Amino acid sequence: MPASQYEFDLMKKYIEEHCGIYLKQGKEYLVESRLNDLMIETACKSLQEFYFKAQNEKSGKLKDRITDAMTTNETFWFRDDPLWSYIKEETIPFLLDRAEKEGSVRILSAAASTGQEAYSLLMLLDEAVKLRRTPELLDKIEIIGTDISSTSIFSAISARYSSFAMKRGLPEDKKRKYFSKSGDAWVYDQELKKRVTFKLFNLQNSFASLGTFDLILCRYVVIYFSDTFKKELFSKLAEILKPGCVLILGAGESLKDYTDAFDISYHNKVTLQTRKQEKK
Amino acid sequence: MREMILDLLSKKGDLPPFPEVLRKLQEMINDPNSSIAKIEKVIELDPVLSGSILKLSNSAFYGLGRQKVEKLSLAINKLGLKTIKQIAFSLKLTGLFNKKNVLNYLTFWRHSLSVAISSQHLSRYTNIPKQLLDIAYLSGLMHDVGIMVFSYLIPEKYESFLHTLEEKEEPIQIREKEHFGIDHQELGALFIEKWWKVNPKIIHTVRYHHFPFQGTEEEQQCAQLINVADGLCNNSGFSNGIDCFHEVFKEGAWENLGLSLSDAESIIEDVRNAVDQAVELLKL
Repeated sequence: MPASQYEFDLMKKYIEEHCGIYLKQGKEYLVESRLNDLMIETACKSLQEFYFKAQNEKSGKLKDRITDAMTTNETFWFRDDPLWSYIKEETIPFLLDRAEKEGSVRILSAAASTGQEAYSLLMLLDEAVKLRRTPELLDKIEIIGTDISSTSIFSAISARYSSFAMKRGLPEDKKRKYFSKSGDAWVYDQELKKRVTFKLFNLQNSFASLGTFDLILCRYVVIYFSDTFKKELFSKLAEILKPGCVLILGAGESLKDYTDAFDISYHNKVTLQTRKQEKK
Repeated sequence: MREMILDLLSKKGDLPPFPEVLRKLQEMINDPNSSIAKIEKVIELDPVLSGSILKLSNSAFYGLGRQKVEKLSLAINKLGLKTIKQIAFSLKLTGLFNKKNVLNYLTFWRHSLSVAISSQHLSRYTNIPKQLLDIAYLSGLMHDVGIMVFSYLIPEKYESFLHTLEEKEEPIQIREKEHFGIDHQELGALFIEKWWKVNPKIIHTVRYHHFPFQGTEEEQQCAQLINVADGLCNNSGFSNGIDCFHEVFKEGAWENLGLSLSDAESIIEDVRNAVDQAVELLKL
């Protein structure tokens, strides 16, 4: 039986309150299409039954699954050319100088999905330290990737990609340099991959366990979130980003209306959010 | 097109029959009154199979100590009936569907065998009951058989269908359903049900290996184990050889089986070993 307006509204409210995801008017159909498999999996015959199951579950696992289902994870290597040129020319030298001066640098790839963003960054870092003839600097850099989905994190940890995934933005020279073929999969440099730690993590949780960072990438995820959750998330990101360091969002994503903890600047189509020195 | 395919299936055509030696072996193993001597006789009727079993019992994977195993009865005794059955199924089934085919049948069977073996390794990290492992192994071997059935019943149509897969990033079973009105899970299950007569739990797993959340708890566990093993083999680069988007595994299957990301690295290693083992078996 198709879901009624009442059931949609119930579920929409749940998704907004518990998952921090806002569904625009007219996007209600997404509720049913994205949750259909989960409803079968949990043996729920109607959206209302599913809603009550989600409401009453204590572990939070179903809530995470709903959040994951409502957010699509499309990942690319080096997504958005101007940004990666900026990262290569400005961010990486900044991070390496910092690693030299302060002894350690920590980077967060939040909502890392299957790892392409973290590994893209690592390839650039690897090239940069070699160019500077300071390969030992790489030991001072720690990259953490988080995602809400075990499937995604498993793929990220395995660092194996299908030819489909490889076609999405990976330049030929990087493919030759950092990947080898195993069966029909492409395997990322197994030594290099050890430098990234992937963790199962819901952005709604407390960030205290993550530590502080010198660069945060949190791209193409806030787009789904409700205003309340955006506000909360940006303030948590401000807490863990060191002063003077940069937060990078997806193209078109903005924190302007939600926090004043960052200075916003523009560099050739790239928007940067720099953590202010003093918290206001 | 569904009706046409089902009609062809009911006539069987040149679809391979279930190997007689496996049928007898299944019967005997299930019969509490049968003896090792009787089982030995059944296997002996197939000289290639008995030779391979002897070879395997002296190989690195199944090595039974320094003493060379020269008699089949000793191999059966030492390996145990469960392993003998699994080896017999592995060797006989992977010899089927080898007529000129649109698929690379060696790659196909390497995948199926890798899934079967991976399911056994993977079970160590899960809460799956031990008595299901044998069913899981055989289900792993047969899980994609519907793809072979497609390519036997409608070879040209299936081949042109395979060429369209590259265009979209969507799992094959969805595309098959759109295109033919039936997917390889259902077709494989119907084929086995009608012509092969194996344990119904195997048929259930074949039918639901891409969406393993139907049926009894045991049926779901078995289908979930194969779903994850299948996804792991795809992820490792040892898919069934069809150039299309391959899913990893279902999040719910991973969770329900009690798998943990802290075991990810050793699971990846185990899958790699399972693939090596499959390659060795296929050389026999």
